[in-house]
Amino acid sequence: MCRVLIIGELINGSRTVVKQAVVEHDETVIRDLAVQQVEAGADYIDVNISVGQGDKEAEDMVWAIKLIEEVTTVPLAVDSANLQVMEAGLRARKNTVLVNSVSAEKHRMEPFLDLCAEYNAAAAALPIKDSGIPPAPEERLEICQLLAEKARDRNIPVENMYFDPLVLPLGVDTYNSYAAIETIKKLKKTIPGVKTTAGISNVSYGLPGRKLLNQVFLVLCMQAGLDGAILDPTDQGLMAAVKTTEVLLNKDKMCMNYLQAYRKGLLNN
Amino acid sequence: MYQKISLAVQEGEIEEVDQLTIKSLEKGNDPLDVLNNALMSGIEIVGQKFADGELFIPEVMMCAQALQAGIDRLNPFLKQDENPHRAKIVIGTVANDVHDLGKNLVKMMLTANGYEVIDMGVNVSAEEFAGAVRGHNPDVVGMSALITTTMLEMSKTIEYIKTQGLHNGSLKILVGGAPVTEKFAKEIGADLYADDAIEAARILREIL
Repeated sequence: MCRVLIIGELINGSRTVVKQAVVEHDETVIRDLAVQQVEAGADYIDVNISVGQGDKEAEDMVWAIKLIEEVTTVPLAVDSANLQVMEAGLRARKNTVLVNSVSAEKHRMEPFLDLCAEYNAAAAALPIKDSGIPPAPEERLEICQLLAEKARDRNIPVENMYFDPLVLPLGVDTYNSYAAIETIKKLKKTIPGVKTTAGISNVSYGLPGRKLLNQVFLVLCMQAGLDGAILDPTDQGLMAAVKTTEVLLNKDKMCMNYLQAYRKGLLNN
Repeated sequence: MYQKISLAVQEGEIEEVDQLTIKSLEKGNDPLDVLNNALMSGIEIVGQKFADGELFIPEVMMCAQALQAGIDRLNPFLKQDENPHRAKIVIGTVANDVHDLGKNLVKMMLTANGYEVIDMGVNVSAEEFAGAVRGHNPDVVGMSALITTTMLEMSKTIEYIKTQGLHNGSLKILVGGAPVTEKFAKEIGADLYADDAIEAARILREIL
């Protein structure tokens, strides 16, 4: 019955506008991106400030989090592969928080899960091990099961673990989108109470007609049991697809959200 | 005939390239000539069309496979010193990093430009890179990193290749990946930096 959790992806150091804002400490850009995403319906704001200035990253993370918390109380997804940066972010924030992300890579699994337990944080968990990303859904499920077990050892509630099936570009191999959808199905079937999340726009990388691909992919993932999506909430067409799918999957009693979106003119896309 | 082969490469017609290459050899054409004036001229157009946004990744992958089918046919007929490839490249994603999309795109573009690419995969340690340089004796070793933390592995790997005495003579070190900048590449002692796969092919074509 739950709505899909929207994790707004726009504050990411790999985007030129954000990269520049982080390097120049432009406060307005970060604040505006947070506000725009909240207004568009984001339930979480992802914060990734990795722009390749190594030793300054922890400082930059704290800087960005403080700015975002000035304008919103929406939960944050602290996004870093660096343990020190992650910890600095978890310590600095006041809002509810999600660790983005944990994986089964040796240097990452235990320390990141320890942080989740220590700071009572939810986590996005990726089926990546030292040898890479296995293509087969069965193997991805196995890694997720290992991560779930390690989380249980630390008394992290299963509903705080958002497993990401890993979405790789369709253009490189058409098996990739199928593998992601199958992994979601297997996760929901095998680990009771587990949550799932996925980065939607990866699927269309390098192909024309990206918006439509993203929309249809999102619908297929939701049908497979997706609980959260990392996406651009200001993409009106994509958000319209979310709301329409929610009502069709009986996740929007009496069509309330759907009708509200209609009145706001958000479905005309 | 050459035009037909070139077109078949551009259309990614694997079987057709294979058959036409056989026919061309049967007619007595010089294998090296077929390589340069049919297969390579076709793939060059593919690379250009991809750079112009006219062709997309899956199409380029098909074309690269078609090119390979032709090269495989020609190979037994080429003389020892007639290497069918423009140059040899060892490529991989550095230690503790398992992102391979960018690396695979570079591999695709280089293959599509007639380079022989030896792919070491992901999470490749400094020792493994050095071993591959020793074993394959490539013209270029290319490293990819997608996380800011693993960019530092690039620095370590370059350092290691240098201390092993392998960065001598003609070996060039190429780096790239989303967080990598030209400035960073210079700082860690790389010879070449590319912003994306298309750029990587363009830069290598200037020197090899």
